[in-house]
Amino acid sequence: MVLKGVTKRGVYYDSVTLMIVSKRINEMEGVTDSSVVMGTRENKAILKAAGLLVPEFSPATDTDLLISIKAGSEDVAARAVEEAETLLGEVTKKQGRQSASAPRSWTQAMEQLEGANLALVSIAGRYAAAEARKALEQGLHVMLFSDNVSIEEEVVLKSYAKSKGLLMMGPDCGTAIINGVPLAFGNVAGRGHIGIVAASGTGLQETSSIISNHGAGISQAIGTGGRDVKKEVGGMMFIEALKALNNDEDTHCILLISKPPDNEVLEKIAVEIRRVKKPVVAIFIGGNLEQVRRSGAIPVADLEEAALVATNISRGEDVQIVKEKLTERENEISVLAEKLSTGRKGRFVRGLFSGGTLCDEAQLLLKGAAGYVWSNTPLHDDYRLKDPWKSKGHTVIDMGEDAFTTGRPHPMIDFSLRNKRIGEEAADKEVAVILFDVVLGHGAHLSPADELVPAIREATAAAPGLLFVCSVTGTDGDPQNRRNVIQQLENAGVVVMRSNSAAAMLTGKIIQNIAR
Amino acid sequence: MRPVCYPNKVMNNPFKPMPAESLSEEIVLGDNLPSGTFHLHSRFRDVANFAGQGNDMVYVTTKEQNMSANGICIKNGSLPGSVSLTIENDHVLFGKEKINRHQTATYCSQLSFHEIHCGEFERYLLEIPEKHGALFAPHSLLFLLQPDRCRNFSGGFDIHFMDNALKAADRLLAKNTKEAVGLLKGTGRGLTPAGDDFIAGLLLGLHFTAFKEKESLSDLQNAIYQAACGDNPLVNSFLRHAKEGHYFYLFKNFVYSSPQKKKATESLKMLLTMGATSGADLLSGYIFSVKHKIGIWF
Repeated sequence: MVLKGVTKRGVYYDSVTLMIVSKRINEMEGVTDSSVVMGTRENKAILKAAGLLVPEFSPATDTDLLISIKAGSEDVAARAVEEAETLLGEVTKKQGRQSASAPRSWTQAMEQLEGANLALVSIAGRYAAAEARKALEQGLHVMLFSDNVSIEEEVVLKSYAKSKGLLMMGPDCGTAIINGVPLAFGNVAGRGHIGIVAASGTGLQETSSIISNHGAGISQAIGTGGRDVKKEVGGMMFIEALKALNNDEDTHCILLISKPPDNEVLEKIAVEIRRVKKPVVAIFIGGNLEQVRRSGAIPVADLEEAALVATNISRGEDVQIVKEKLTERENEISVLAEKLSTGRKGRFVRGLFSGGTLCDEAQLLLKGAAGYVWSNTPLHDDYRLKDPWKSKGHTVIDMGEDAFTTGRPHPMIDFSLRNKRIGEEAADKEVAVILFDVVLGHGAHLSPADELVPAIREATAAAPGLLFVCSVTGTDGDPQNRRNVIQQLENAGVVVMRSNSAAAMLTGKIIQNIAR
Repeated sequence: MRPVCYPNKVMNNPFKPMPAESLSEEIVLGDNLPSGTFHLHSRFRDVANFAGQGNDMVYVTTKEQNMSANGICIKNGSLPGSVSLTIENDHVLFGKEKINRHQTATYCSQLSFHEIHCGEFERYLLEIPEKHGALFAPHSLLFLLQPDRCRNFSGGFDIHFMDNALKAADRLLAKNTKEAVGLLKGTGRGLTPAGDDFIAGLLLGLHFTAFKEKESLSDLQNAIYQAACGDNPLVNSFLRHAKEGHYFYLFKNFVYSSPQKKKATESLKMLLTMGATSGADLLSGYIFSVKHKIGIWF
């Protein structure tokens, strides 16, 4: 074992940067332990206790940075130090670039990019409404990625945007595809004639990806933020976006995605749907299909069905073909479930999701097989977990919720918490299936399989009968390449289904078979 | 940067949002700025720290929520390019730019416990680990109040950091303050280490306990401060302001919002966004101090 230490004199970083760098170094193959900390006397005492102190650290002071690496060989230790220096150098360069060229006002930003007509706002919630307002005043459409904006502010912003004929996407709008450009957490989907309006981020990602993977494409995909369909906001932007797509020549078919809207809001949406001269497909996850049908839209039961129906319509094909495909899907799932149910020791499912809508959809589809499942975002409030960190019975967790994301990146970016949870679930002998999602695209982790596979292999070694089922939301055009990610997961023994709904259905059937 | 003249106003109600029009370029000065010449010590994206004589520090920030007694806020502006600044009784000088102190808004760092219901605040405070523990950064020192959070620590440095802090908590409860502070100070990753944030919380908590129990705890506060002081002027200055009961914006906001359920959670979240774990460590120290009535021992 080799211990290598480097002191960077007069170099300081905030603790977020140092935690990220430490984590990256610890993940390097051959590195046993490492630490990147400021050189206080007390930290040196801790490094000593941890076996990470080298004599070279003796003269270091509070404003010196200490990099300590314990590795299997001199070569690995040297590479780890080099990597740490590179990572810290990137932070410094980035900060330099930001202070040199970042515009400090909307006017400056507009001067830098003449003709811009859309602003993406992603700042702390309490400032976000004011900045979004300024952007609207400049005549810009707004995508407001920030959350923690009050519903009252949302109503004011959306009313103002509406009065100016502008789109106000968000707050808490995580994704959109405008003129072929994926924004924020967006997937590289093909261009085509299907327009999407979604009050659901991962719902939009899942459907746009499936559409693209089936060779069709997106004209525009407009996110509205989840609260738009609540009574207070009245579906303002949902309706404005629907109107915009109705007037868009490149859009031949419109897909609407949301959790069930408030009844009054649904009525308003229905009135607008009846005015639309193009086919409208609607999925209000967990909502009443009959209400959708009455509004004149084509109701669908899950996100995959929604994407397939829209695809067929955009190609001018008969919707009946989709029904046949779905029946085929169900049959395939039943056969596969039968095969996978044998030899399972446990009886419970544990779902670990990074996408909120995917988590909701999974719960809904599992309900038929297992009844309501425990969750931190349950379908029924009686099934709310008191402690989201501990599962019981059938549990499905949305790891994108506050409890898991405060102080750390979203689970689409940072897999550490989910990997830890996989280990904990695997230690529970009653668990038969771990169901999860992998969401690709811009903004998401660049190599999710590299993060997940070691945790899955470790869990499988500890609990040989445990089954992993997942879906991969994304396209081959995404920076991660969907096909490669699927291959890596399958090589690790994961059953990768073609959609989130198929993965949830398969899991439900396996659970049913085990209980039989 | 141009000098801005504003009528003198005291921000004694930090949770009241400033009107949107005031979010234009504006300068606010802390109410406890030391005088003298200060030289650039460290610079981050939104904050530049300047060190003076002894433990005197001032900082310039572009974010209102970073304000405290020794801060200068240039809202929506840029951090000054100059490497030194001078503070006199009536003005602040950045290079050639002069700010008239008498015509500039002041941030008030005082907090009056008379304005809140102490019993209810204490109850709210003590419920935070159980009800809102999930909002705290996983690697924060909240494990000193919730031992099951120790599971978040792995790796040599982290494990020993955790053991060290647990030992310090034991010493604190055994009334061995000096040893406890010695174990905590300077421990943690960043330029203001987690252990020091916890000590600052401890010092602020003593102000609440002193008020509630009608006791003077200034001797203990001085002893903790002396034991915690080290070579880092940034930390020393931070601790001195905590000892003297100078509250920073996010903490005042947290205290004053506590009776209003919705705002309380919002301001708690804001406090916890301070640094990677700074807000969480400081609040952990504060709750620890109040929960165990540190100082009321005899």
